[in-house]
Amino acid sequence: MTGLLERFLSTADRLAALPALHWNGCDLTYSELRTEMERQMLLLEGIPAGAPVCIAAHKNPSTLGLVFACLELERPFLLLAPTLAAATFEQVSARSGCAHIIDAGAGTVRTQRADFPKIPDDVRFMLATSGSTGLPKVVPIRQGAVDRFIEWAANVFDIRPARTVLNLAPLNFDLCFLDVWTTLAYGGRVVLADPDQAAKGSYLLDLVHRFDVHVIQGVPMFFTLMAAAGEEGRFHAVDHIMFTGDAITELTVYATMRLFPNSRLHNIYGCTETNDSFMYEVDRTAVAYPLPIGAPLPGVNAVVMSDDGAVVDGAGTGELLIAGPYLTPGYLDPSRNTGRFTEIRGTTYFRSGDLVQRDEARTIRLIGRSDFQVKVRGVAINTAEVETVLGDHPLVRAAAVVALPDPLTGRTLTAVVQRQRGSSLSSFALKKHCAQNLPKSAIPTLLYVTDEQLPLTSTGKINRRQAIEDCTPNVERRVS
Amino acid sequence: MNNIETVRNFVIEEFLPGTNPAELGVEDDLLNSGVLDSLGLLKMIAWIESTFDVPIGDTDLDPDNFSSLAAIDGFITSARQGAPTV
Repeated sequence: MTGLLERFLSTADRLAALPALHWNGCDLTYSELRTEMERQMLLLEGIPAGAPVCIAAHKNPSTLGLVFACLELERPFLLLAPTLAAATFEQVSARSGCAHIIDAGAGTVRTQRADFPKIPDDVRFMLATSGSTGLPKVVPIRQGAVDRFIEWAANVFDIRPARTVLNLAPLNFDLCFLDVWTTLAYGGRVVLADPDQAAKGSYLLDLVHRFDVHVIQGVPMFFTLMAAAGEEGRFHAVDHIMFTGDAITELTVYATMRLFPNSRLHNIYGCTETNDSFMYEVDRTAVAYPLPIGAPLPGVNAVVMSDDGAVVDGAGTGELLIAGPYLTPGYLDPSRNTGRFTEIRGTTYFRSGDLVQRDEARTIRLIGRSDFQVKVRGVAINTAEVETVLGDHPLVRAAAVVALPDPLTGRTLTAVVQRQRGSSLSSFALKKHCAQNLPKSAIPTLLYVTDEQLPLTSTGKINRRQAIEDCTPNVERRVS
Repeated sequence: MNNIETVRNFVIEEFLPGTNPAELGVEDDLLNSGVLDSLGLLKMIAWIESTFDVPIGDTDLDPDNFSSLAAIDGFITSARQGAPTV
């Protein structure tokens, strides 16, 4: 099978002057990106053949070159968020067997002691789940799965030379298989949005306008931001929009349709473990809201499993289980597979933890979670784990964490903490405590401290909704 | 009230409710300590623009300009003088 690397190299050979990417005022052709790859291969010299390396996933052309260099040298690599707490970054990379941590942009290689986990054959890309506490789980992905996926994506979203795709996600997100890697495999141009500016709708629209972007994939928040910034504007070149990673508000669906009048809109569902698995195309003439996640992608097997573990065959509700051509062979640390992968009728499925409803027409809708997981700006966060971290502070008696609906971001992570009476524990001290023990995305944006006992439910558990309402009278009505 | 006090009060009110203002030092890191996330940063920038009447262009959006009370104070001072800030 012709894969990502072969396709990229072939484009660089045949169409050397074709634009490959734009990044912060700088344009690279396919030939220049290949030169960057060759430059990065020098950085890998001297590292034992086949040993995995950890790539600090700063967004820049050098990091992309390093990924291609690893593919060329058949070396597995872990793309890890540079925003992780330093201790977590080191621990995750060390346990994944990465004795070398590379910052491609800076041209630096750091070494550390590392374990020797067994990495399945044919694995190149390794990504980490967000893991709001404890260690993020490392998800190895077979190159065959990547190659199958990019072939699907290029075909469906018409990604090829003379087409431009906007990349909004950080490079360590699985979303990049579509907007970055499919594009570079199939000769398109990818415009990398600068993460430092990506929260500014006017900046994003300027990129869309200046580079005649055709395809945009992003978490709903980006579309909300662009819609707010582009009230009067219309961007006619955009023909495919993909919402992913989170539920989207009805307002944003309509605003996005207006902003990009010639676009087809797709709602995509996937997990790091499964890559994209479901897709639903919005009917512009009759928007069904909430948007369904639709039907499985070609080759994807999905099962709805009821509470008692039985497979729901027709209409019904239950947890969504996914198998198929893009599924990971399991976490790098096999001890973490327990409860997350299960075999049904001879096929291994990933348990998504998402509760879904399937109707008579076999269309699937998300209805919630089977655990404490919430999505905040596309990142999965376990609120129970954030509560545990808050509770670990010596002056904390109890903590409640919920994701409150927010008109801009979709959800805001909000915490109420009962401190030890007489202590002067502040929200500042607690944010610093969280920053030391949680990834940034899991630090509650709003954090209230109280001396009062948090309200309890009839069964003696903390009544989270009530606790939040008591502390936040001004947002009371937003609690759903 | 000088700039630092004005900014400190805003940060406490918006992002650190209930915190004693004296607890937030001028050099304390606002970004790595989780006080400001990316959207908090934008909110802060919009507030600085309107409160201090300084236009903030895209090139000023370097997070380093807003990483502490002292950095913000420095940014406001130089922006008012029209000096380059990056």
